[in-house]
Amino acid sequence: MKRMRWVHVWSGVVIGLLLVAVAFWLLAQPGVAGPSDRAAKPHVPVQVQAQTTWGETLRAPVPQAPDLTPTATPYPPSDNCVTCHTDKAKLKELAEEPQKVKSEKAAGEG
Amino acid sequence: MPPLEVWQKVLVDPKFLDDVHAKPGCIACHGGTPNTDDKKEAHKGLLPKAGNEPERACGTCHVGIVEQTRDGLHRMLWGYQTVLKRRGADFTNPKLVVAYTTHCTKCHADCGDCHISRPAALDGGLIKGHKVKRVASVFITCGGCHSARVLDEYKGAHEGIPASVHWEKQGMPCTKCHTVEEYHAGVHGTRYTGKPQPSCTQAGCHEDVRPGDGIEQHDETHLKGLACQVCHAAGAYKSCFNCHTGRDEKGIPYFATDPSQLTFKIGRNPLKSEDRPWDYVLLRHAPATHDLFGYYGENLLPDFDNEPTWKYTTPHNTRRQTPQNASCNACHGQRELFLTEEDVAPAERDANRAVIVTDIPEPVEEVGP
Repeated sequence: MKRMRWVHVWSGVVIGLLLVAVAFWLLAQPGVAGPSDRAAKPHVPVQVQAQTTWGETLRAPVPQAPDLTPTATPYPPSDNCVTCHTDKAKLKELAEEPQKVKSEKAAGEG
Repeated sequence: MPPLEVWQKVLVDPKFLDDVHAKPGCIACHGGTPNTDDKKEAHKGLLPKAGNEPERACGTCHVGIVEQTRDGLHRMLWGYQTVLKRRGADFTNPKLVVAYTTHCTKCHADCGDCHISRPAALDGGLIKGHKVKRVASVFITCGGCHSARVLDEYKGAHEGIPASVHWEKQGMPCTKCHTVEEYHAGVHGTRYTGKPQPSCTQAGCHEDVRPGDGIEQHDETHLKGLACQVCHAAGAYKSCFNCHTGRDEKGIPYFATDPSQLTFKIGRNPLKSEDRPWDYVLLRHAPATHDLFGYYGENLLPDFDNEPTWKYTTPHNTRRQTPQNASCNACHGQRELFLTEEDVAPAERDANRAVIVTDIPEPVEEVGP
């Protein structure tokens, strides 16, 4: 009789543990979350992805660490601008007087 | 100030090339074409005023300032837009927009207009060989746009009217009173929207001015009733009249105003509020007219009379002792100091009804020393 009672106790414990495990598993599934979780988490639609074959996986590029080596400035050279715009004589030679844009009807102060 | 020669406008000082602002190279900010000595070819894709694209030219480093100025008073000219809207301007009307952009936006200022070049009003050109000036030049930059109605008064350029004591005795540049936020940011409205800034009585200035401070006429009535300038503007200041805009036979845009006049007029405060509580302020005539934009379309300012043409002003010729505060009756009973109906053109009387003074303060019995 005593042995039978222990079998019942152990069976109860095992069944209880199984129920707890099933409950946790269910809670972890999307769409089975409790009401408060549903309110807090925005619905994210499941992305349907194409199956990736092993071959594609092997051919995929391996992620590399970013190259942090300083690189040369990407700006284009301005030597031609500097050469001319620091040369007073050259500027005088190339200067073009703009067409007069002031109207003869203009009068008074602005 | 005479305009620069064409070549002077674009002559770069070799010293600038050592400046951090030169490091990206000319083309990074101004566009253009590298590796050619041909002028025409080199200037293909050129953006002479890099400040027209402030995010690209300046904003990569000066992120916060460029962000602040995007909506600033100097850039957006909110003052013009605000006043024109009060006069009924409809900025969705293409005719109005053409008139506005042809004649009003020349005053627009981006970074380079203050820190590198002369303003467009002086026909542009580099101020100092492309040196990037941290603090803009009082005379060339501020005065380039605000000379007639601010700097000339401040420096005493009008014959017989002294300079401001702030200039004459202290040599204070504009930046002593006007903060960097005023230049860069600004407000929607006009520069007279909100609290006076700068204020004469702000901390570090005349903060001890109050009724009973021991100064004659600084009593409750005068300090509450009159803006500081009413007593402390040293004399007349410039008013402009009768502006008309249009294009001539060759299609060149022009504006024409009547010769300016030196006026001194005390009027009712058109901006009376908790921030500007005075009954009387000084007024200056703005050159606006009913048909200001008449060339561009009919009735483009249909609510012209909503806004006075004699506008709130704060002349810069400030002195402690002035003709009108020499004695009680230097002001009381002096009809010519006040804006009365006969001072206002008949066509503008409705617009100025709220600022015209009808009751001149009676002369009082002078109290002897």
